Amino acid sequence: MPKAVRIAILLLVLAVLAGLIELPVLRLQISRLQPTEQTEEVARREVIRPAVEARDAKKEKVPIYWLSATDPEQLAPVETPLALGSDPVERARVALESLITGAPTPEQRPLPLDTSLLAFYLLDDGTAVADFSEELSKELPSGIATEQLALDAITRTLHAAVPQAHRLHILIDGQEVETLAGHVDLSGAFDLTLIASAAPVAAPETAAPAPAPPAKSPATEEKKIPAATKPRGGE
Amino acid sequence: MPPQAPGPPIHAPSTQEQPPQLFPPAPPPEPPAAPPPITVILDPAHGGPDSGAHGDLSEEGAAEKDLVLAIALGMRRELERQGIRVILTRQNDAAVSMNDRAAVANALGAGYFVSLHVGSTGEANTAQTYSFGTPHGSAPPAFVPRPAGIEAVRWDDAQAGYAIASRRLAELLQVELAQKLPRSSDVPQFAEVRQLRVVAHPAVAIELSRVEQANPESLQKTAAPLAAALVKAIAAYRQPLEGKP
Repeated sequence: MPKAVRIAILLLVLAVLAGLIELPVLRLQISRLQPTEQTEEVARREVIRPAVEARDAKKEKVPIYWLSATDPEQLAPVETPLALGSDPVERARVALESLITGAPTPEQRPLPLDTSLLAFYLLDDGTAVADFSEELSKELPSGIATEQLALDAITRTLHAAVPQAHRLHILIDGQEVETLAGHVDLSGAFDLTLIASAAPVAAPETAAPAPAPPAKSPATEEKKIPAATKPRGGE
Repeated sequence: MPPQAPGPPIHAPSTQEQPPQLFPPAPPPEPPAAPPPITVILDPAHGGPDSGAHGDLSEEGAAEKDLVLAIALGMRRELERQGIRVILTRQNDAAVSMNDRAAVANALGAGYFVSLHVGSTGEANTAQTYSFGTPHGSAPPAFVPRPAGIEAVRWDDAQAGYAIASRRLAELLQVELAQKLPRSSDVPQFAEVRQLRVVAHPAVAIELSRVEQANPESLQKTAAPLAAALVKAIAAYRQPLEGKP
């Protein structure tokens, strides 16, 4: 065998050996480069601060309006123990942070996880101003249904945690905007006092089963209630 | 303007000119002609840089603005075939503001305003009709005027006077849609759709589901059933009016 051929074979064998050693290392690197959704989720949770609860406050149960686990096109309040404190601004902050980050599953979030509440004010006349970061409008899937659910989640959660707030202005990055994400009107103020008389969105998801509905309200009224707000007796 | 103060008028009335005769004497009445055609204002939402809802992560994904334009053009063909006059708020990929769209519609004497959308959620190939209102208010009329002291009632609340009419049109339309597009709900909903708020006509929004589906272009096939449902709903809506002696 000529010397050149032997050298060539030797080089080839060396190359194959090197490849055999290199391949698992490359594989390992590739697998590291493809983080699973789960790890990304964990990383986000580490970055995002947990809902800042009021210090020295007793936990109280407050309904947080996440999406229903069974029907993602409806809201379902979950009675959630949170240390809200007594300051209305603090209460709003804790409840809305919980709404954004605390949903039992990612599918039940009505607002994008990256949203943050930049500021919250409550004026003496009951006018509240909630200033959300731009992720609320940029990362929310655009659409009438999704945007209305997000808006309802905010107004209903806020109304439950801060009954003193009668009207709500929603700002995005400090600005008044025309729509939430292209459809739902954010101009002006929302009247939160209407929620008290409104039909509940759905039976609470946890807690005891809903009591048997008492005598139904007049059928005509029930018919007018939008599908998203399934009437349930009581309250 | 200063309030009218008592005393001599600041501006004397202008000279005693006869007001110019704007209209010639009315001609003798003609025999009643065919009733004016029904006008439908179709509003393909979004356009230009605003693509609306779009398929996630994929540049190839369909955009709401393109789907609704194709559906609107298809609906126009169907509606015009039935003798209905159709006005489009945009005919191409133009960026038209919501107030400009309403201005086009409100300048018309009478019509039905239908805003077309494709949403991000819901079961594929279903449709949901909305009229303007807050879902909080369970009792009709759904329209809730902005509270006094926060904002004066403005031209922007043009829809206020049409809340009940719009709700009725939505109810009739959704019943038809539930038949034409199976698995759709047969109940309309209220939503604070920005576009509808400024429209001075019976006005509804239809949101089709959904932009992220295996074949979003198949939504364009809904143009014919949507048009058929709209024709039936408008006919039912006008029934009591035309039934009058």
